[in-house]
Amino acid sequence: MRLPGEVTAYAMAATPFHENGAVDLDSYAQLLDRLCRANIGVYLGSGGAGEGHALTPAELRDLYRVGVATCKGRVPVAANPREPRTAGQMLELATAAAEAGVDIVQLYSLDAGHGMKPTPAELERYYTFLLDRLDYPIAISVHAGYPYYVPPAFVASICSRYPQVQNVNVIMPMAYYLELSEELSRIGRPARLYTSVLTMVEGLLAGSYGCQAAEPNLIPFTFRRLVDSILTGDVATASRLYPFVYDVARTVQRWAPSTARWLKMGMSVLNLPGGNGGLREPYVLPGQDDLDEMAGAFNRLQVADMEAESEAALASSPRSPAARST
Amino acid sequence: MFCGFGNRVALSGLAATQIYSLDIGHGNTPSDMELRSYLEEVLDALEGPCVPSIHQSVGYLYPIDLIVDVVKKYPNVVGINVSTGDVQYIARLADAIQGRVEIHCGGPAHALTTLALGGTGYLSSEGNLAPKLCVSLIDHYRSGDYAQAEVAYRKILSLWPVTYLYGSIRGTKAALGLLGLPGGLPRPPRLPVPARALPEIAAKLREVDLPELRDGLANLPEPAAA
Repeated sequence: MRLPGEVTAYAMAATPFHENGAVDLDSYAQLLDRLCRANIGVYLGSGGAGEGHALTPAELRDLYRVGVATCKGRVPVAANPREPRTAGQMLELATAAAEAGVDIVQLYSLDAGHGMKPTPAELERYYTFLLDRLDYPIAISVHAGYPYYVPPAFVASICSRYPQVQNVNVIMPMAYYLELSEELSRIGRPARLYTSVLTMVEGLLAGSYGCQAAEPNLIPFTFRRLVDSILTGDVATASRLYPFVYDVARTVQRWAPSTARWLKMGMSVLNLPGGNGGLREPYVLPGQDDLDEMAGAFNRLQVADMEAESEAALASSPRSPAARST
Repeated sequence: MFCGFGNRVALSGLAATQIYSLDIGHGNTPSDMELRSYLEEVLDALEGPCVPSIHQSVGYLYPIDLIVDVVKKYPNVVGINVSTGDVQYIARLADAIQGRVEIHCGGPAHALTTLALGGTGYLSSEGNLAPKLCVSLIDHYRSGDYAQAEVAYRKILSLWPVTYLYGSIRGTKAALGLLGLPGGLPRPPRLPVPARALPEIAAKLREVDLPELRDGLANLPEPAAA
């Protein structure tokens, strides 16, 4: 396993809105600051939790600007422009993120619409088109949610040809992670691999550099404390926090997919910054009965108490997140 | 944005505007409430004839009661296009619609099934290549000549190695090019089929030997000698 200082738990940051539907950049900065204080890295404007598909390019630029201003130097700050219909669309947003100064830009897989499955030649063209033009630290995302398979050997091949690819985010079963890891070792090309929250523990045991998750938007301190307890061998704490985090995840899954829906419900229930602005269409916030149901579940899990406890515990740890405060 | 475009479609004189299912991205699925909100927002704004599309590519199928509701509520909904391999869904949809509007299935594979269930017809990218053949299936069926409808059906499906094997519109465009018909190349991110596949497509076109393609077939490059 890695050392705690090598590992980043990334939040796919929520995008708050005012009640009139405009992006609420003040609340965004507050949400991001809370993540920084918990030592959680951030992905800005994502296609899932960040409702990136409902944002204009200008709004995404605003998110990148505020994200860099709030987080840079405190935690890793990354952008993951929404899945594009064409490589040109991704290039536009990835360039905007790079110009804003994020630490790394994630390239999602191609989603050309209508269930289109790229051929190997089209996949090759997509990545080479982008990587021939983006001279910037890059993360490649491989995601189980797409209707096609990106072979680990292909990802390793891309890594071998483009030194700017630093991270691969493996939102796939662990078998894929291990195969990719093996391919990269075979060609002698190191890259930092990250997993989803679903395979976080297995990934850490397999040497991952962390994970991507939406849950830290709601429970950042507990999430980071869980990661640290695993990495430091604090089995007692990890054994207590693991079921808690996964109980929270199981609870909110009642309103998934999509992530954005339950995330905004959770922000409302926990009274977090931007929690009153709701979702942007096409999402519709579930009604009060659903919010009450989630609030009841969170009360039973004692989410607020656990977060307060974890915040205090992290503040007193040798890697105090207080040092990361603004 | 879509609504504005849809109204331009209506003004252009086209028969109808198809309203694709909502694709919210990132592999996510709208809730039933979000689907209703989407369809009603679009249908409230569009003035001309509309055809909601139910398409498996977005990862979900509309609840049938929602489709029934919009058919009842919006007189400008003139049809439903349903693209799914789930024949039971098509059957339940046809039962629920009760002939109020047209139903077309997506692709030729379930064309005869859909017609037998009371549907109107089918959607077909094969129509780009062999329009007369595609229409003949419907004409034969409507005239009660089921034997000839079956012949047409088999011919359409025999085009599969041309139209579907390469996915999307790639194979169809390659065939159009080989036959000297307009169509051009796919636009990225789609790429043309590899050059090595062209002889196979040409061979298949020769084998199917459709009368409406005979002018183009005469121009196909000769197969390489064994």
